[in-house]
Amino acid sequence: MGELLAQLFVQPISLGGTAQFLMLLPLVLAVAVVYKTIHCRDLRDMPVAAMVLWVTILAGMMGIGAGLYVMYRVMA
Amino acid sequence: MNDSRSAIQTAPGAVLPNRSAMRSMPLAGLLAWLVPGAGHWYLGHRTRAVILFVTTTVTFWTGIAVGGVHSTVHPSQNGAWLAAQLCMGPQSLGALAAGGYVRKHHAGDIAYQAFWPADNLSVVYTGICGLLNLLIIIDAIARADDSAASSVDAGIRARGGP
Repeated sequence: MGELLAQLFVQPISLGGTAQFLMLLPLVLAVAVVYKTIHCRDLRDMPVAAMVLWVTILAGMMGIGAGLYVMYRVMA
Repeated sequence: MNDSRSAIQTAPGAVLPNRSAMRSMPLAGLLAWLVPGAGHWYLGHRTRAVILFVTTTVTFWTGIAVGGVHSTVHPSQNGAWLAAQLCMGPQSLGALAAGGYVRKHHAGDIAYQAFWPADNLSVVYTGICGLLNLLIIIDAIARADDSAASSVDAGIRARGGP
């Protein structure tokens, strides 16, 4: 069990295709949760606020990505 | 769920300073660096502390699991990211030591080396996690400062000051 756990952190995972983009979701969620945990005066407001921030960041990043892609296609 | 206690109310209009609420700013910052969320725990924000600890620790070790210790916390390859990773405290030092051990005893073994995009993802995960803990450290220091200031204000009010 200990060896299996050690291997989990010693041997890298091979990622590719869609998986690398899906890894963005938990990272942005962590950022949103930490930010809202610090900033919300009442912690009962935190889950909803973190979800809103999570969706906002993802939508913003997708929007920027789409905008840059369109700009690239137009200029190419 | 406001779990901070900065002053005790004894009678209407009379607030006495709560000496136990006066917290050390350097100690809050140091605890937050040693264990993410420990600074908030020390200040009495227990629920916040647990959320911060779980979130940062799971994210950091997810990054390590993606890239492996060999390639993630690397003193010579990842440049400024190492400074961000070290904000995670002993967890990052442990990963750095484990990475050094693997690099020494399995030099040239590609089974332990991460390649694109896993190497980039793992460094970004752990680096951002370290920067999040830096934010947590700064917040713990600011909250300790606030608790000290409110205790002093309470003392002035108790002595009939402004």
